[in-house]
Amino acid sequence: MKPPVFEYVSPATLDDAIAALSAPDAGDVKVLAGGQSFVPLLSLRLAQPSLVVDINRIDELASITEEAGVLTIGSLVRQRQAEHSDVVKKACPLMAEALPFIGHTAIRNRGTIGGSIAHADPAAELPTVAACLDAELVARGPGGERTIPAAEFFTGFFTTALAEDEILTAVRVRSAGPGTGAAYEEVARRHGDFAMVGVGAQVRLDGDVVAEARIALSGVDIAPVRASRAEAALAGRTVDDSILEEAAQAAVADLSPSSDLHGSAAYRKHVAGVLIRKTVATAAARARENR
Amino acid sequence: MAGGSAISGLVGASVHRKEDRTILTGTGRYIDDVQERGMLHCHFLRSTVAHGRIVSIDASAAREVEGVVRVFTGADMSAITEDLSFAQPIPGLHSPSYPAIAHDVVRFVGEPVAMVVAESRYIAEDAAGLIEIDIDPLEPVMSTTAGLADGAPEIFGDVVPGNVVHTDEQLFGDIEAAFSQADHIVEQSLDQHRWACNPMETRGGVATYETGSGQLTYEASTQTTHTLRFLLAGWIRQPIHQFRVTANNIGGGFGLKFSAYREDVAVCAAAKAIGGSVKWVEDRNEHLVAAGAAREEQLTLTAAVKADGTLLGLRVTMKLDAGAYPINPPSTVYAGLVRTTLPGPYKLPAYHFQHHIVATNKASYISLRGPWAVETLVRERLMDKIAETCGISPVEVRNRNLITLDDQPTKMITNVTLENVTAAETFQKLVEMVDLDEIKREQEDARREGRLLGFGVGTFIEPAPGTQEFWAAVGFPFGSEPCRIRIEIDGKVTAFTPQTPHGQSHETTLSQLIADELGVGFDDIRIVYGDTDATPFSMLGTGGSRAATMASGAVVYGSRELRKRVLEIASHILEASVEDLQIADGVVSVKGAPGASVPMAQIAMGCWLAPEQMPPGTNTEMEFVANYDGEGGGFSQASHACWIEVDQDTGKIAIKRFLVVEDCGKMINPAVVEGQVIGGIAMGVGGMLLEHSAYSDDGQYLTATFMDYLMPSAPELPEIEIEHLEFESDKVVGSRGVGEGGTVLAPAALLNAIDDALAQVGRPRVTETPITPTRMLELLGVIEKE
Repeated sequence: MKPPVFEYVSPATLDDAIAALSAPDAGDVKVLAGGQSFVPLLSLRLAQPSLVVDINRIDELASITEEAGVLTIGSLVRQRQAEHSDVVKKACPLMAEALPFIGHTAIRNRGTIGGSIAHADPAAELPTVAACLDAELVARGPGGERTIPAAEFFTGFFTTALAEDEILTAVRVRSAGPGTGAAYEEVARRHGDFAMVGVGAQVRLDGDVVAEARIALSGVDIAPVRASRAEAALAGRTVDDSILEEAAQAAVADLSPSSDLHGSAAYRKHVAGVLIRKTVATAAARARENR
Repeated sequence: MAGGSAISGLVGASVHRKEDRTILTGTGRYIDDVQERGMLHCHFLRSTVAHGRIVSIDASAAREVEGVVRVFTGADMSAITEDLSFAQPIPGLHSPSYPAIAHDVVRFVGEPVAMVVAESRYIAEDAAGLIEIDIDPLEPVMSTTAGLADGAPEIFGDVVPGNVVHTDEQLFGDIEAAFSQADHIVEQSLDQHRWACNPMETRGGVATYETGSGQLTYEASTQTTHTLRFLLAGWIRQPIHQFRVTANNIGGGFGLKFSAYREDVAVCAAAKAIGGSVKWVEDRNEHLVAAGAAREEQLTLTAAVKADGTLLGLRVTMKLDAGAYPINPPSTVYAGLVRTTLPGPYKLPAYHFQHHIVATNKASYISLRGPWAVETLVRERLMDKIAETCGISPVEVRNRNLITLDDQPTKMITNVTLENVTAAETFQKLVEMVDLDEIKREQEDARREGRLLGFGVGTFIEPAPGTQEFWAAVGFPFGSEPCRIRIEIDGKVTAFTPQTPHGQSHETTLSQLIADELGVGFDDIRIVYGDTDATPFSMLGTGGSRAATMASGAVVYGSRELRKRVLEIASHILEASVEDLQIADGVVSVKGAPGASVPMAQIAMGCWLAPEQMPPGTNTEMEFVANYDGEGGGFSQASHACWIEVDQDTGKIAIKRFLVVEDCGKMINPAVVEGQVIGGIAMGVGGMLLEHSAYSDDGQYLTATFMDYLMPSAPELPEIEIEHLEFESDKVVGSRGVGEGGTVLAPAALLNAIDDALAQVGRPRVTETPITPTRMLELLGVIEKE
């Protein structure tokens, strides 16, 4: 479990990092942020890059700002930093709910918001949050900056729409307004493990009626899954047990998870339904409190 | 609470561990800490095919890599080593010998196929990636059922006919009569999965060959330096008098490090061939894939019982999945242990036991903390099923069948005498400590709220160290235990033990005993272990929970002999009779006349420097090798109770409470006992709920990192409450081992609790482990089994 030989650079600016990524002789380049997934992959030689671009010195990527109803989290913001941020708690309660499920404290101290999203593990929390909230993912490459909607960002198992020479620089979400509540739940084999199934839900109420429901699932497909039929089933309705059941069934009917050692397909489908009922109910209750 | 001053009465106190300063400050010497001059590093290329014939191997590109010193293919290695053989004169045992590095057939994913020695591990791994190997796949055998099937591929050809490593049956008592008198026939079966030892420090060693003298030193992470030495010496063609095996800090073993492995052979042989120093530290990925695992056994029990739950007879069949290659001890020892121990602390008039040990295309079946544990697991679950069949409680069925102190001495049906066994008494105490009616009420209340609780109990005996008869029945020697003790020239004490402590705190416990026996300060005693040049021979090292009795006895007897010598000399100097003398704080004095005293240091200095000037007729040898025979040995015992809650939505099992009543006789250090009990239970719980050394049907290994091989961590474990009974025997050493019991019994109490929960909602018992959340929802009927 020793990494193969690779070149290593640690630029201080985003421009230098992109220049390193897009150099004609760069070869197979990988970006190192918190390293919580990438370094084990290196050690197992599942990743064998020719060049590693360490972005940890690029301070411009490490800030959290909220402006004009949009929350922007720099990709190098540590998960633990976001977890403790009052701005994040208020503007993106779903992310605040999801963050404590990521690994353990020591992992979140190093792990970054952007790193987890760019790594795109379908069982991970932050890609699910991004999908749930239709986050905009800001990427910078030699040609400049572009934003990628979350729905187009996660293209498969550990794969994204990022080009080889692009760096994910920030995540943008619309700030949650009054009447909004969020909940995140997951079931893992142990505390801190990747989820067998995770569900993020955000509900906005208009009176007692659901104005907007957003639900996304982790661990049930090759990328985060939006439960669109469940969201539609909830829209315009008052949340009660029967509508929760209807929404859960609608969501589960669309799922075809695969089986592994930790959970069978049937298990994942069942737990997805359980967690949808639970998270939507909690999110709706919080939305009522937040009116 | 211990200090430098000698205070008698250290035995029985939770003295702070001597080991802690080194371990907790990171100043220990584990294998990866070892740095020898010019030390090289090696890496093993391993088979990715479960079963296949090696067609060709080309290491030429690897040999060209800068920094590579030598590449050994199987043929290269076999040219300088003998095949490993663990064959023993055991009737019917088919024990294939095998090369350190495969050169013909590979038989499991992870089998070494080449070894690269280089200036760094990085370079060795780079070069290994350049070795081209062509393996022609053969059909793998991935279960005992597949191995025993007609027409199954014989993975060792006619060396292991039909893949049956060993089969045997033994009959005790009149089994036919027992079944003909039965009111009920109760059947119980269990298919246990593979799980592993996973010590924090994996396998590894540094071999250093001195070309001038021809001496070889192997510093290894081992539980048994002497056995490793004599096994390896022959295979690497090293004269044993020129071969030294050492061990320093050892980061856990759990039974794994009792054997010698093919990697040990290759590392030592490479150091000899190259004429230098070679390090191998197994990484976690290699460890999970290749180090071996345990516990994969399928048992079926059929019991003949009377209407009142009294056991009349028991038929047992066991299939054991041995993996491909045999290690030490031979697998017949495991079968013998299960067979001999299974009746446990119960009266059983008739017994039939049959086993089939089957070779498969997996890593070796190894010892794991209580290698016989399945006997307690299946027996304690059977007792619960008998209770259900007879309409009595799990407590009542045990009370009706347990052997109490009043019944002893008595013989187990397996011809082992039980004496001073207090399993029934621990169980009685456990039952006193819980309110069974209250538990029932809580369960009913919970069910009304839609929650599901479970409660389970179990009891057992632990051969720690066992008896002569016990080990004779198993088919394994029960050796005596030596210890060399020396009073140094300044009156301080050095003791040389063949134990190789790797978490058992022997430096502390043996020092406590010596301090009390010799009247010297706890900090004035050093325990030397892990050096075949220094410690007396023992085949066993540390294993089998022997030390509490055996190593303790050796230091007690050794200390007493030296005390006698010191007192005899002092009686001349002080002109007082031996009976009137005492030793405290390293000073011999006359009782009641503290002014009349002589320091032990003065006596020791005289004995070492000028023995001819010491009182005539006294024994001035200040060093003594004691051999302790165990005074017949004996058993530990315990009873466990486990409370769980099952989440019927997710299938997750939470252990709400875990109670232990244990009796290991006289506790030397209660904190050490409790550490062993807690660690053991954590391992047993982890084994049942989380840990799984899993293979796919085509023989690929599925749990090669800690993301997939799930160790229990603190949030998964309950607080463990421990109540001690301390049976006082009339033996000099009344202490028994506790290293394995937690791991042996906890799975039984836990599975009984799970079965109890399932029974409350009308669902069938567990028949397969591990109990994953998926399996739990299948058992509850919430989801379909795939």
